[in-house]
Amino acid sequence: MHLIPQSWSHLHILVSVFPSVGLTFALGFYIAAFMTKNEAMKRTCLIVFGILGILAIPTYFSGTGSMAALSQNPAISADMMNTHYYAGLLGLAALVITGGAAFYELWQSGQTGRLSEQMLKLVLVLAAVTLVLMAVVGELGWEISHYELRLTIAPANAAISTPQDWSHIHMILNHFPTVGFVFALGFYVVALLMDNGAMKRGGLALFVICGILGVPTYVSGAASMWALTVPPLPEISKAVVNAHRDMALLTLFGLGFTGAAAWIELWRYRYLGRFSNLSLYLVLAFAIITLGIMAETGHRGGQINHPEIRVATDILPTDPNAGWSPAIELLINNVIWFVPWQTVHFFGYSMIFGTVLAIVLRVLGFWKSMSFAAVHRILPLGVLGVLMNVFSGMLMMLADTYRYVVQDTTFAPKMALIPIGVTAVLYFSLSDDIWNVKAGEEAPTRAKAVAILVLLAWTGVIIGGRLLPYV
Amino acid sequence: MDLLLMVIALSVVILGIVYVALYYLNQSVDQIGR
Repeated sequence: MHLIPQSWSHLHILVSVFPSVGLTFALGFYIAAFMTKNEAMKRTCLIVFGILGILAIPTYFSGTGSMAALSQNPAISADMMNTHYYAGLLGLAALVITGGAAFYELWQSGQTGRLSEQMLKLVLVLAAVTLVLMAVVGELGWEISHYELRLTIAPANAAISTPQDWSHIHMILNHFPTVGFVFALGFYVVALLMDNGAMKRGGLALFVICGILGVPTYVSGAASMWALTVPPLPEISKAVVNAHRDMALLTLFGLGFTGAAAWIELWRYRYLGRFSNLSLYLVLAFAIITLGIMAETGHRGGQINHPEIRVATDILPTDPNAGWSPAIELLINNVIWFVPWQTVHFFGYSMIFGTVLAIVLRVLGFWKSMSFAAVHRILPLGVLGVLMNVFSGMLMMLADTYRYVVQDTTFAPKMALIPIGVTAVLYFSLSDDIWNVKAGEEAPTRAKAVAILVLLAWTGVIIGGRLLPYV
Repeated sequence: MDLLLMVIALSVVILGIVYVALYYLNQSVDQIGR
């Protein structure tokens, strides 16, 4: 592997995702800082906006360098590059202004001794505008070399082809758990250094979110594999895809362990009122290992369809049957392996739904004689169920990814509802309003709305799962 | 028969792990106030 870029194109692919996708997470933390009224968190976010503004420089120069290199390639449209370039100038200008405003605010707070509320809000608006622009620029950017996104299915291949929308979704989605994880780790390390409780909780929550985003990312990746390999596309090698897939499997485990360890600490915090340093550093260790695996996964993913970033020392695999993923596919196709994991999956969803039902009903007003803290106590049962089902579900999916992901129409909605259900449950671990609901008290309206969302999401997951083989 | 044994074995192992995990998690938060 060569993680250090050796071409402008490679550097551009790497660096450009930070001011675009990364900005989403910086903005998320910034909003969290407003909600928790945490000054240190606001300042950290201002520094991050400033750094992202500085990243406009390598993004611009690697971009123009890539344009010069790719203009030699007849397969690349000069018009598309130009559109991306001019939109990119606008996006980068907004980015620099946001970064400049953030640095100015930091400077003036150093002079006056306090942050200006108006300026903080201006940075918020600027960052939001920049994010919208960057989303457009990003989309125009990856359409340049990803010609497959424009492919339509030939009538002769209609029975076997998978829509390229999957490749498109995977390309967008995979940057969120990866870039988000870099930001989560960065914030988390700063939180540990500054010993800031709200930032620690923010970092832990983002680890959980990245963890659960791993699920739709992995699934959309499996669908893209079919879109790119059946019927085969020139330049795409199944062996290279499998090498990426093997690493993605490890990443899913890493994301799962980091997310679960982070969530458990958020849960324990409620009862202990403080974090255990041992657990915090355990989460840090999991996160660092996961980030390493994820970097390799991303690199292998980039190698699938970016011949321009390959160098002579890259030795790509050639045997499409090598690796763990094809081996697991063969194994799990035996009834003796499939059915026991399916049983585990059913236990898992019983645990999830049982927990969800108890908590949601309390929030909606049943069993008011119990405080929310009492029902919060059973949440780990549901989280263990989620962990069980991510792994058993992933194994079952490997038995026949094409049927599940491409042919079964209820699979995609099921995969979309899982992160919604999990993230909504995260609210119950983070919100102070709901935590303070004592025995006999009514839950706040906002909590009730989240409870209904959680119930609908998990009901949808079960219905989607049960209908898989039939619709 | 093999399938039945496999289902029982995997269920016992996984639910056993869940039981132990829940036991220690709860114990770790029960220690407050002692």
